Amino acid sequence: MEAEAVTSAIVDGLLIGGAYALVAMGLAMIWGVMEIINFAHGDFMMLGALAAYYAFTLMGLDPLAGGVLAFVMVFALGVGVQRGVINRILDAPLLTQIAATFAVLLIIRYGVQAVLGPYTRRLVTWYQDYYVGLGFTTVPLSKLLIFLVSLVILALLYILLNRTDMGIAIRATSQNRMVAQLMGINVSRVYDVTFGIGVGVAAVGGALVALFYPIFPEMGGFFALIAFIAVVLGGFGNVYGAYVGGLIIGVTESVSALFIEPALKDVVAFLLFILIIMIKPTGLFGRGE
Amino acid sequence: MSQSRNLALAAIVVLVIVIVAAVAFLRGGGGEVSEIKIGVILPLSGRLAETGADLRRGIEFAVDEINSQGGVKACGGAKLTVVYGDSAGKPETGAAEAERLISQEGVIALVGAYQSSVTKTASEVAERYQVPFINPDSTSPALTERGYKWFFRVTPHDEMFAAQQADFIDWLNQKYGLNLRTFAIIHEDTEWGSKVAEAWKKYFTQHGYTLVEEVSYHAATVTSLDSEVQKLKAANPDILLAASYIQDAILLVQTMKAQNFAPKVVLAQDAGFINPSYVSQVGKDGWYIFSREVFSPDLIDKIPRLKEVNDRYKKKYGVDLNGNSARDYTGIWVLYYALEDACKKASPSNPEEFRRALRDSLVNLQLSPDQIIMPWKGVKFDEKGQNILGQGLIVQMFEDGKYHVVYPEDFAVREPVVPFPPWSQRG
Repeated sequence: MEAEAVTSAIVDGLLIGGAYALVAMGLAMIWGVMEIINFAHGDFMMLGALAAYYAFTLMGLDPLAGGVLAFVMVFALGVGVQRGVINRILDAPLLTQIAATFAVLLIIRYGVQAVLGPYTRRLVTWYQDYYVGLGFTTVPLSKLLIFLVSLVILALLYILLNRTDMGIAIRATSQNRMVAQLMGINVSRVYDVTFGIGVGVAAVGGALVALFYPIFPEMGGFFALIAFIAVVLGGFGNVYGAYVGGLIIGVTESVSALFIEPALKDVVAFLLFILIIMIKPTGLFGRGE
Repeated sequence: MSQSRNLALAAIVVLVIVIVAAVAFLRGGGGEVSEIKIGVILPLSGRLAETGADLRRGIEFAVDEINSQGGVKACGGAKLTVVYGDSAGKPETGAAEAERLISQEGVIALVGAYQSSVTKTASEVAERYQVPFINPDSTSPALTERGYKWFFRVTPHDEMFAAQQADFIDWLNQKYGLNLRTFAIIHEDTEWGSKVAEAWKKYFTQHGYTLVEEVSYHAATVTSLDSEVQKLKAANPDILLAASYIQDAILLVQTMKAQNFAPKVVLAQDAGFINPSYVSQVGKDGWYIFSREVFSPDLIDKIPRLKEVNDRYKKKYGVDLNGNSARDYTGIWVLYYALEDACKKASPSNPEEFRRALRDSLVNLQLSPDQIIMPWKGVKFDEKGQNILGQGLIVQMFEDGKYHVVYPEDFAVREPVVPFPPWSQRG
């Protein structure tokens, strides 16, 4: 019984960790390449969830397909925000950057609230209550889907960053913007793509989270908080580290809830975070300066 | 010259007296006082402005009814005049408005203020100035534990609701032979949820039920209730009590279904579970869950006086009475009955004396169920200022996706569906 409970807690944690990881990867990418802390990240995720909700209720589109739609829409919006706001504050003091992305957060969150109302929405698919047996435990299909999608996105990001010209340009820019520019890389285009993909991935996360989590204007806040921790944990700006960071937080939460006390799961996750940072201040996979 | 000036002055004085008397006669039917001023503090702006507007309609409607049926008869038909104070939902603004209404407007009594936190500060001011404060709608138990002499709460409070919920479980056991013995609690961990859990533990233990598990969670950061529900399921309670806001209520129900956790009775404490967003989004997963309520559209067919009042109310405002407007409407009527009594002992022309008389009248007030529109046994205040005849309702969500009253029996329109059916046996 005990061993079974532990494995099922670990699996639960990995699955929800996949959702955290999706939100965290984009955040890590934006920070790694542009050195911008995107406070509005969770709200782009919320937009993805809303897009999936409307695609589902108005057009009957499954959230998996809705996730693609959400990515495209939020990518476009992200490019707009990058050109309109972020590009102008790249060299501004840190406080200006924080205030600007925070302003974007407020505009998105309360814009949605003003237009669509503060209501809670719920997306109910036909496989809502469908379970998959993994041999040693049974898991909801919706959560398994989000984990699988997070792996696919991880692989796609790996291919993008390592096997395409754009990826090489992105990595070059992240290493040294000035040199990259001198080598003829169109840096502002790299930034457009980076920010667009970063928030787009968060939107995919939102679309899939909508399979098991209610959708409301403030939902991004909770996930963004965890994403920030995952990014720091994984080593600032390291996309793969952020992925692992998200999984670690998910597993820590569910295992500590089992062994210690559900009410303390946040406390334990954050304690572990501080412990890791004390031992390795650059994060688990940080390069170190 | 000076004589004609004196004459003109006298003429003016006479004219003024005649006009005042005429106005008094027209407005007040010739009594010595033509109006009784009351102050009402509500959240008319800010986040709760929508609720505030609802509450205001209840107040306005009661005042119109009282005035059109001849005002306060024992005071020579004096009309009620309301001066509003806007708390904007903030305790400090509520207190400042109470101060203004008392010292500048000279109101005889205060009514308000919806949120417990605002009621608390506003009634502090009233207590200091010795002005009766009628509270129709705040449910924090602490408000009537302060030993105040001028504070009267008409609505039942959260502890009374918890006590009634324990009575309800007793009733289920007797009537349906469910043999419910153990209970578990899940609650959000801010002051509200924690206080509700305390009250549940107190009354359910008193009634002989055994607590087998209690879990709390932080509603602002909760992304999953998997482990919480696992713990509850492992404890295998007969009764699950839940205090949640909207999104966490949806998450809880969804997770219970996912883990196939179906205790014999699921009973929620109002809040998220009766919110329109929850009701519209939870769908059939919300069926057969019980919740505490203060009001229900079902009552309109159950309380003759309510039906009559609601018809007129709906004609005027286009909406049905709800828990908020009905409670504030009732608050004004309670004040009216006390005024009728106070006017026999003192005159509003002497505010201090009249406020004391009004306080005494409230202390001795006894209203029967047919004098009010709420599903209560009447109105009678104890020495703490709490109406001891008030009660809540227990509602259950049925297959039409709506909550219907199942308890107390006098107001019930349906038989409860018990035990909570297994998740696999639903439509």
